Amino acid sequence: MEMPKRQSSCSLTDKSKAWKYLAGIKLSSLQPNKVTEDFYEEPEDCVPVDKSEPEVYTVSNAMVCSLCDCIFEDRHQQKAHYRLDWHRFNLKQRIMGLKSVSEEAFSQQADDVSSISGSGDSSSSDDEDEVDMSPVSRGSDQARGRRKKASSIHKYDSDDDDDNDAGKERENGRRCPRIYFDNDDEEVVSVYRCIIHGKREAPTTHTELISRTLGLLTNQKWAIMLTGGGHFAAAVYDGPEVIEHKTFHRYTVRAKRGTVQSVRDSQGNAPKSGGASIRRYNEAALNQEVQNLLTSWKDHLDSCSRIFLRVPTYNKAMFYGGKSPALVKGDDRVVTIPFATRRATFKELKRVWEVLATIESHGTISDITTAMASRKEKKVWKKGKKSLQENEKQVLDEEDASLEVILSRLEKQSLEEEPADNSTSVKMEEKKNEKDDEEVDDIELHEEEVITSTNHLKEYETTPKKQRRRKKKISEKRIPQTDSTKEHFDREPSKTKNTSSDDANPIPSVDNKDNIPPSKGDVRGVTAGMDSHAGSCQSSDDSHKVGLGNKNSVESRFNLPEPLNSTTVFNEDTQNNPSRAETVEGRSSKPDLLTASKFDEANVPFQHKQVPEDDSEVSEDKAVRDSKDHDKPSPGVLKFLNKPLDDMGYSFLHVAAEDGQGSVLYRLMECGADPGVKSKKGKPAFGCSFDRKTREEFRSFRSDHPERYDYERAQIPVPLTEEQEKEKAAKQAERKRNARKAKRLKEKEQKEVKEVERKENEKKEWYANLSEREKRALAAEKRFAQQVTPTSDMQRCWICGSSLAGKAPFSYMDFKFCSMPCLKKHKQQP
Amino acid sequence: MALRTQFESNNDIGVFCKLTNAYCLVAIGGSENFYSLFEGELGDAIPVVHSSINGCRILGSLAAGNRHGLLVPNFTTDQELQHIRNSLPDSVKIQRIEEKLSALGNVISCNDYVALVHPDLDKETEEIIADVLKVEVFRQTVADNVLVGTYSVISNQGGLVHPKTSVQEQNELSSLLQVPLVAGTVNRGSDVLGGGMVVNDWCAFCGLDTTTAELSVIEKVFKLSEGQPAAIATEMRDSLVDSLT
Repeated sequence: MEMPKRQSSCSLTDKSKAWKYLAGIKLSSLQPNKVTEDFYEEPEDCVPVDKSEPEVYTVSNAMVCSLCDCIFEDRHQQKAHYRLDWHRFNLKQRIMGLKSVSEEAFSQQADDVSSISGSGDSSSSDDEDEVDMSPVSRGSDQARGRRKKASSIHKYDSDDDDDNDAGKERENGRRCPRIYFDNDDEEVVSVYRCIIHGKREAPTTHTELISRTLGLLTNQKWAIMLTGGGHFAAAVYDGPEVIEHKTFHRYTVRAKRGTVQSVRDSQGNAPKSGGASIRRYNEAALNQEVQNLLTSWKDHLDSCSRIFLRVPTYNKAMFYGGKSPALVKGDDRVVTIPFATRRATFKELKRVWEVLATIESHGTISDITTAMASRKEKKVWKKGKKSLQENEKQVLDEEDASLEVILSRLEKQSLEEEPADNSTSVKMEEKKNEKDDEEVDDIELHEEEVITSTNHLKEYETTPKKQRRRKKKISEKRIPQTDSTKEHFDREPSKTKNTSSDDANPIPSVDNKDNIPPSKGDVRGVTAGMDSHAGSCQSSDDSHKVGLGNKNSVESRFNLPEPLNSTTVFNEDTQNNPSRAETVEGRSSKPDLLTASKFDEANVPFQHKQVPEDDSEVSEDKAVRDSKDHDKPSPGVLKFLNKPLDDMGYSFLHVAAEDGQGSVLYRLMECGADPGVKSKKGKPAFGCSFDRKTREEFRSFRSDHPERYDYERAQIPVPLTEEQEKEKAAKQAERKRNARKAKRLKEKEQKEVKEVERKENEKKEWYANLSEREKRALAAEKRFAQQVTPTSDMQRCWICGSSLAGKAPFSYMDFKFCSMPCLKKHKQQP
Repeated sequence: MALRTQFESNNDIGVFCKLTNAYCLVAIGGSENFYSLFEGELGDAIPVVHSSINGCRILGSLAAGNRHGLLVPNFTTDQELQHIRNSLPDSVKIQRIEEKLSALGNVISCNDYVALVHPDLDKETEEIIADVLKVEVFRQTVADNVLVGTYSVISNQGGLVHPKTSVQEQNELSSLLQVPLVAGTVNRGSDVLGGGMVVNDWCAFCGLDTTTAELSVIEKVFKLSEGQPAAIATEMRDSLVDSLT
């Protein structure tokens, strides 16, 4: 930050120098913040409605424009004036709260001001330009430059002239602690605002402000009081000399806490410790001392022109509290110190006084404006920061690079350490896989061909039964292709080695079901990452070792992007076990068929309807399709659409509904296919619907076209309202829940039954496996047990007859009793 | 004569209708009370038309016009424009204006001869106003308000301007517009004159809150109580002859 060179200061007490500084001062235009309302009040120009209204209103003949300050001679001139740019410019000036411009001044600027009218170009920046270009009557170059500067740095823009009406720009800036003046030497000097006026008694006019400022030189009796954290310092100054001063200190702040005790107490749960009570006492004592002091200073304080106070809120009571407060609230002389102060000591008091009683000179006006301009342009700091960032980036890059080097080195080492172990090193396998990539790509090409071929076949498919048959055929077709892939594969030397060893393995029972437990291979496949290449390669490698039966499961489970990988795995076995390979092929080609059928449905929806038709009708069908594009069916087409197609009396709609082709249905009906047409059995198309979705399609059509067809005849119900739908959904959910419950119950039962069965079987087995001797022993044991335990019915109390099962009976001789009373009874019997 | 009315318990009736010497546009309201008052008062002299502008009911603020023409903002739909065109007499030109200050009723205050407009209005717009409404256009403010349509109401007979307009400014405006002006209020002291009232050469409608004193000022300055045959023959001739043919 550059400061003007001629910066100096002097104390207010140095009268001669201060006079020099303050000679001929006026409020500077270079206020950092402006407080316009304080000094410049515009006279209210509103005129209340005249009480004594004239009886008859007349047209005025005032041929003037007060805005532009000109008088017209006739109506023409008047009208012409209102069209002038000058008038419009003045209007805009008025709206913006600026002064009007004389005609000459305006014409001077006319070249610069391209357009002043029109809402199109009245952006704020334009307006500002206009303001800056405004040919102000006093507009010397310097003044204008200053104006511009002032507005650009959002400074207070008051008029230097004595008339106070130009400061209309309102800006709610914070009040600046310093107030700036221009003096006779064209210098900008400043003093603290608080030594001139407080917040409440701000001078309302410029002259008052100046007179007050100059009054500072004569009346300089000030009191300064600082408190905070148990410290108190106060002094009364008259000019430079200290009349009275006093400092106190009491222990009120616990060191670790940092606030006085009363603050802590006010938070509730006041501590009862000895230290706390000491501090509490000290606070009260300090208060008392200060109050006593201030009462003894009362005369001095009353004669002070200003009282500077630095007091935290919790200490306010020191000055404003008590029976006879030292200071009165609302006293205009009391002002706060507008800068930071240190611990309240006499030294600090002296410093505060010096700072307050100083007039700062900031150099000449022109110096400041140029300094501000240059400050604005320079962005040294940003540049420095940027370069710093770049440096950091470079360092980081270097670090990255070195890290990479280290990493690559490590990688190499690890590769060298594990040279041949391809079953454990994933990396190695990946590498190998990269080699295989070519072949894999080749195989993929074959796969594509297969898809198109099945697609072709699918065109004449309608039922899933046929699909299955097709599938087999395709799989048969594809065998030769796998043979060709084998050729590729066999060229790979490492693989052939593996396979040769594999061929020697005994082939386990042929079992291609998917429920084979996961082998080591697929677990490895998972751990090898989701990289399908790595996974496939791995699994194929491992499966060779584990056994052929697992390969299928591995492949199918991973659902590899290259389905033919499975064939690559099996190709060696095709010769050995062609039938198995065929089934595998069948399975792997199944997804193809499915996708093909999907493809079919999506793109060639109308082919389904061609099934029972001959060629002529197919061509007609085309016509229908064309007509659908225009959505305006011709009568012929309509007739055709609703004609029964076969001996069942099925129309197009019937066929589409039976096949579950919802979108086709909708379009058909849009084109005029009547859902009311019934088959020979008397079934409308709706009745033939394949599933619920299809039925919903009918319903949605009805909701979209409520009047189009006779829906009663077509038996299409009203589409469900949202409420009904919700109800239905809830019902369905309930049903589902019940079904699930029932299923669970059933399963449990089955489980129980199975468990019983299993136990029985176990026993059976166990018994069967017993040796002859053991069986005999068992039988003997049983017999013995039967003898020992007589039938439970016999075990009853002799007297009362209650069961003795599970009890230790009381007995004498052969009699057995349930209890002592029974026994007694029996004994006493004669 | 000046009448007091309300648009759906809103006193700013000027917002919801547009009254000129040749036609009256009324917003489509929830009830027909508002419309029927206008219809009853004006129906035999000029067409009273239900309309909206881009679906808005605040057509008084959005449209500006006099007996020669009607200016509507750019966002008026074709349908609305067609409807207005069909309903108004053929002598009334209707023009859609592409203007940033689209609330034309707020920025234009006019009678059949002169118009005060917002100082920021486009030059093209100014020309269109002059052409369509056949008026002399003056860019001016009323008591330092740029929304001249909101803060002033003028007819061929007189004008009411913002209550804070200085006497000096009133005189200037009066000589400019060639009609007697007075500073006044409507709706119990509201300075939103354009919103609070509508006026043509023989009839005025104010908000229901308008006091008798305000009404008397209005009647006086717009010369509404002077419905003498002589006056009709002389002063009101232009506007009446046009609408009677």
